[in-house]
Amino acid sequence: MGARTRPGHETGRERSPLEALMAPQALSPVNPVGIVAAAYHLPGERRDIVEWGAEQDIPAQLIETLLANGCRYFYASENESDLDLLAVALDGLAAQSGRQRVASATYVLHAHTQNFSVPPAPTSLLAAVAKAYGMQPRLCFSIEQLACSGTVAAIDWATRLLAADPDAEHALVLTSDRVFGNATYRIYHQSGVQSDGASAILLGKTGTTCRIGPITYRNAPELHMGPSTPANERAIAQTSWLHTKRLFQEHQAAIGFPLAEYGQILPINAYRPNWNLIAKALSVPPERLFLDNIRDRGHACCTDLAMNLVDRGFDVLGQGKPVLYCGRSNIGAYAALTLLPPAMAEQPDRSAPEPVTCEVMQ
Amino acid sequence: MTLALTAIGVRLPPSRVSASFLGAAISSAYLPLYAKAGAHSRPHTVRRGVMSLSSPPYEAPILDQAESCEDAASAIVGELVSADPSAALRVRSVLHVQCTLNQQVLGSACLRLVHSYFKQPADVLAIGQLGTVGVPTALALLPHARSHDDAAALACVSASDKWVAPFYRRIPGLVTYGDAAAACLVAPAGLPRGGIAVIERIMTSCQPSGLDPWVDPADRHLDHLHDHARDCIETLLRPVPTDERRHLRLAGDDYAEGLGARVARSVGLEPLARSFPAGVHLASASPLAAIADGIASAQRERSACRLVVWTATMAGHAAALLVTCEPSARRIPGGWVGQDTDETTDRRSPAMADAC
Repeated sequence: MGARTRPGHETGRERSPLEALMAPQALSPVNPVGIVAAAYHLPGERRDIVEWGAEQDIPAQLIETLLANGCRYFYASENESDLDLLAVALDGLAAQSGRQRVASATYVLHAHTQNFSVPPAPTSLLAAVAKAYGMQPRLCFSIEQLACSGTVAAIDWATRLLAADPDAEHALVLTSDRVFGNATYRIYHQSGVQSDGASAILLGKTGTTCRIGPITYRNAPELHMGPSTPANERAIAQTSWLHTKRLFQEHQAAIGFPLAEYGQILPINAYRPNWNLIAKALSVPPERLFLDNIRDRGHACCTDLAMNLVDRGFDVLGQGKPVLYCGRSNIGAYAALTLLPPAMAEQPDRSAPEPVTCEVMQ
Repeated sequence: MTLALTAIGVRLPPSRVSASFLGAAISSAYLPLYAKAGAHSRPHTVRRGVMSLSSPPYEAPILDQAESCEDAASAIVGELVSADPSAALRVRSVLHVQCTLNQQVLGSACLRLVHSYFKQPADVLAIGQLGTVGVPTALALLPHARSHDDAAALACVSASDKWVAPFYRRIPGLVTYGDAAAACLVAPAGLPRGGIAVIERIMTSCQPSGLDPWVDPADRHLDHLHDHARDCIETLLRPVPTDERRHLRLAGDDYAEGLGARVARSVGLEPLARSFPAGVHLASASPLAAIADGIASAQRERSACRLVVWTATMAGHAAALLVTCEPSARRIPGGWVGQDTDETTDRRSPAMADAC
C-alpha cells in the first residue's frame, strides 16, 4: 500500500502521513491526554502448554494445533484474588510514577473480560482498590461485557473525562482477569491460551510517553450471546477475522494513516493465523504485527494492551513511530486504538474543556 | 449542564416467597464460582457446593428461573421503544448497568440491547463494580458521550439484576434485594419536546467502608450508609437556596431499619411515597425507580416534583441526583413517556440554572 499524503499548509510541501496524523487539527479534542506509564502482572511461574497439557489430559492433537498456531506459554494464578493481582500491577506502576501520583488519580476505570473475575456483590473491586491506595476518585467504574476490547473503551472514556476536566491531571485504567472453569477453558478457539493477569495504566496530560490518538469501534451485536452454543461459536469463528479486517479498514479510512506505516501493530495475544491472514489481506508487512507474546505470555484478556505496550509498544513509540492496538472479542465488540509518539507535534489547545455535570463530594 | 429524560420504565417480576438468604438456586448458572478460582468471587461465608441457606420465609420480586437479567433489561427497554419507535432511531449511546453477574455467562447485555433495538450507536458499554451507583455514573458519563453534540441524539440507560446463588439476596437486618430492571431514554440538555424529568445535578462519591457485608454487624453498615448518603446529599444541595429546599422530596434505596427515613430526617427533606414493594431494595434499578415515583407524584399533584434521589452501597459508593419530575408524562406499561409539548421549558430555579 502506498503512502498517502496531505498537503502541508505552512510551506506547501507534502506532509508525511505521520505529520498529518500528528497535526492537532487532525485529532479529536481529547488529544492532550496520553499514557504516562504502564505496568502489568502475570502471576506465578511461566507454564509450558506441552507439560501442562499432559498433566491435564488435554488431547495431544489439540496441543499440537496450539503449538502450530504459535502458542506455548501462559501464566495462571494459584490462589490470588483480582485485588491481589491488581495490587502487584499498581505497585509496579507506583514504582515508576510515584505512589502519590497513582493514588491521586481523579478517574479510575477498570475493564475485564472474564465474567466471574470480580469480587462478589455487594463488595466492589473499585472500592477495595480505593481503600488500599487511599484514592478518592471523582468517578470510577468498571467496563464489562465488551470482553477484550473493553480496555480500549476504558482508555477512551478515561481520556474523554480527563480532557474535559481542567482540574484533573491523571486517570487510571486498570484491568484484571482470572480464568475460571477447567483446563479446557484456558484454550481459546485452538489458537490461544489464556493467562491470568492484571495491569495498571496511568493517563495524564503531561510527562506522557505517548498520546492517545484516534479510536475506532466496530460492533457486530448479532454475536452478543458469545460462544454459548456450537452454532454461535461457529459464527464467531467464521466472522471474527472479517470484522477485525473491516475494523482496520475503517480505522485507516477514518484517520487517513496507512496501516503499513505504523511502527508496530499490537494485536491481542491469540489467533496468530488470523492476524497473519488479516495482514496479508491488507498488505501489511507481517513483521509489523507483534505476535511474540502469543507464544511467550498467552492471552491475558484486557491486560494484553499494557503487556504488549510494555514489552514492545513503548520502544516503538520512543523511536517516534505510532502504534496501533487492536482489541477483539468473541461477543462482537472490536476496537482499534492509535497511540502517537509524544514529541512530534505541537501541544494542542487545552482550553475550553467540556463542562462536567458530575461533581465530587469534598 | 442538564440531562432530560424522555421515557422511563421499571419492571418488577411478581413477588414470591423465598426461604433462602441466597438468590435463586440455578444449578447450571454459576458452577465455576464453586470451584477453586471462585473462592474470591463468591461470598466467603458460602462454602463450596452450598446453593441455599435457610432463612425465615420472606417475599421479594423474583424472576422465573429461565428469565435472565438480560431478558428483563431487554423487556423494559422494549417497552420504552414500543411506546415511541422513532426514539430508538435516535439512540446513539447504550449504557447498561448491573450489580449482579450475567446468567448468560458468555454474553453481553449491552450488545444484546443494541442488536434488539438500536442501529449502531456510537457508545456501547456495560458498567459494573459500583452496585447501585451504576445508573448515576452512567448518567454522569453522558455529557462525555461521542454523540453529545448532536442535539437530536438520545441515550438509553438500563439497569437490571437477578440474584442467583451463591450471592445473598437477603442480609438480615440490613437489606433484601429484589430482582428488577429499569431503563430510561435521555436527551443531552434542556427539557426537549416530550421531556418528563430533568436531572440538574449529579454527585458521586467513593468512600470505602472497609466493612465485611456478611460478617460485620448490620448497624455498622447502616451507620456508614447513612453518613455517606447524608454527606452526598448535603454536598449536592450546597448550591440550592434554603427556601427552595423546603419543597424538595427525598427518595432512595430501601435498606432495613428505616434507613431511608433516618436519612430524610438528617437532611431535613420530606420522603417521597414509594409505589414499589416496601422493604425491598431494587438494586441497580433503585435510582430509576425513585425517579419513576417522582413522576407519578408529579402526575398525582399536577405540578412538578423536585426530588433528591440517593443511593449508597455497602462497599462505599454513593450518589445523589437532583431531579425535577414533570407532571405531563403519559403512562405506558411499566413506565412513563412524554406527551408532546409545544416548547422547550426549563423548570429549574434561577439559582440552579446559574449553578449548572
